[in-house]
Amino acid sequence: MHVTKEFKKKTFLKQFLLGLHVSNSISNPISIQQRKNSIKLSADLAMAFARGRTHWTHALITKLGQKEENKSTLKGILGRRYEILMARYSCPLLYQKVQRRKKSVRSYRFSYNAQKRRSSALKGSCVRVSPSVVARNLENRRTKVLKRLVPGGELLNGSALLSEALDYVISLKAQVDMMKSLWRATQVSSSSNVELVPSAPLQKKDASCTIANSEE
Amino acid sequence: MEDEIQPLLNPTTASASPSVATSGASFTALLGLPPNRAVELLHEPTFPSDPALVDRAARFSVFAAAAAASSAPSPEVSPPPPPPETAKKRKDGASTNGKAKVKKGKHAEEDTDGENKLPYVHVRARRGQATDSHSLAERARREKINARMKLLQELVPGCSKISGTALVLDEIINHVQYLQRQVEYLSMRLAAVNPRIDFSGLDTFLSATTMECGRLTIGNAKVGTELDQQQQQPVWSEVGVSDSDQMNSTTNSKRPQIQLQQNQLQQFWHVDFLNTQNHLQPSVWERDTVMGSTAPHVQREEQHSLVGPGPVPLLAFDRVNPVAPPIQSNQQLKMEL
Repeated sequence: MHVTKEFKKKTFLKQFLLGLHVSNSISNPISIQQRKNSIKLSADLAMAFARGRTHWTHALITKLGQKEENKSTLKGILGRRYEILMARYSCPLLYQKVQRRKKSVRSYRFSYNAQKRRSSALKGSCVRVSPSVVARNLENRRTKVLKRLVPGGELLNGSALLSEALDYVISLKAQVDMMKSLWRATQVSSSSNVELVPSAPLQKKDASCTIANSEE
Repeated sequence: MEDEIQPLLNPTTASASPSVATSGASFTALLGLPPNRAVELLHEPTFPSDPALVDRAARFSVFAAAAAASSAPSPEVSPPPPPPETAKKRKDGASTNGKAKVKKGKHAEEDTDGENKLPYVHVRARRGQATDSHSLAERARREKINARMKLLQELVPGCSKISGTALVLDEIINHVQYLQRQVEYLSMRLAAVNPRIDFSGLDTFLSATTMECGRLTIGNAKVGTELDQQQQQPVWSEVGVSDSDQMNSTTNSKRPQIQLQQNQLQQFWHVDFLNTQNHLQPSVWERDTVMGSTAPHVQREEQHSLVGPGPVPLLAFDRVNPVAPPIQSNQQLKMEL
């Protein structure tokens, strides 16, 4: 939203391919799960880098950096900047805040149950909850789920959460599109077998497909 | 009543009491908003001048002690630029007595966004609603949330027909989960296919198809002295790994691969990021900032690395005029895993 998508795609691609190279070189003998994880890591990192500085990118990079299994890949991708970035993005404060919030959620649920109990005690067996309460409850549940989905969402509220979710959805869409096009490129290069003619840009993919075919 | 209103119609700028001026200006500032937004706020499809009149009269009655002459804007809709003003929250209780048709609008956010850091939020209550400050602030918050929800509705496909916050949130959540699952799935597929494909060729493919100046920069690329153009001896260039002198040597021994086009693409990225440097947010995140410092060296010779002033020497390119030679050299390469 704040940054043009054209710019983002370039940066994303560059960073993603960087990460792919690194994950190729590092984790070649290891299982496909780990390769998938490192690819996903580099994709998320690329998306966060391409987007710029927003709340969710900050939280995403923090989360990525705190997992133990990611650290080697991150070191490979970021190189010398790893220490700088990890120092900046290690924020224990984030998770302390989350702990505090959990208590209030529990208390809310308790109060809601108390209200239900009260209403059922008054009116007999059937539980009558006013529609506004139902609507509010639904909305709160959805908001909680959204907070869990959006990186860094637990700390946000209301309109800020929605704007971060908006931004995140846009970036996710762009990420998926880029990965799809990359995937299609690999498909094309691995399946086609066209003769090389050096003048058109279309033929450049044939260069890569000869590479692929030569090793088969 | 009418003779009270008449002097208000005469636009006077001199002795305008600030409160009246602000309220008048802000009301027409509201009208100067994008029409749909203002409509949504006003719940009124047209902008008759009567509400303006009525508002002036209301204010006149409320602020009777204030200066009689007011800079009431002309009844036609002419949005003045929102002047720097001290907006106040207004209690409309007194005004509803006389006027049966008071339609008030509310513009909490838009007005304050146009000003520079005012301490107060200028809002107006809707008809028949509470006017104390708490509910006004809450209404402002709700309007903000509703605006964001609208944007999200437009973004998520299939959401525009749904009415109601909870269901829209449901759709948004589903969409986010769907996108995240797609990322996982695509990364799994890329992992499955990864060992077979060297991404150097893909770089040029994608760059050539997506960016128009790819051809130009590939024409300017140089082939290193270590690597003859037609030679079969490929050299691995560590693109992103900066601390990898040792890694260079190990991967040289393990997997010699041509990084010719990869470096061409780097060069392309060098050049292109020169142009986009002004658009870039200045952040340490991207290697472009480092790259940008090395960009002047692009045309010359060696040492263009994404790392920048790093210890890793990458391939140096000689001039390659046609695109054909790199492709032919690619043809002769073997890719080892």
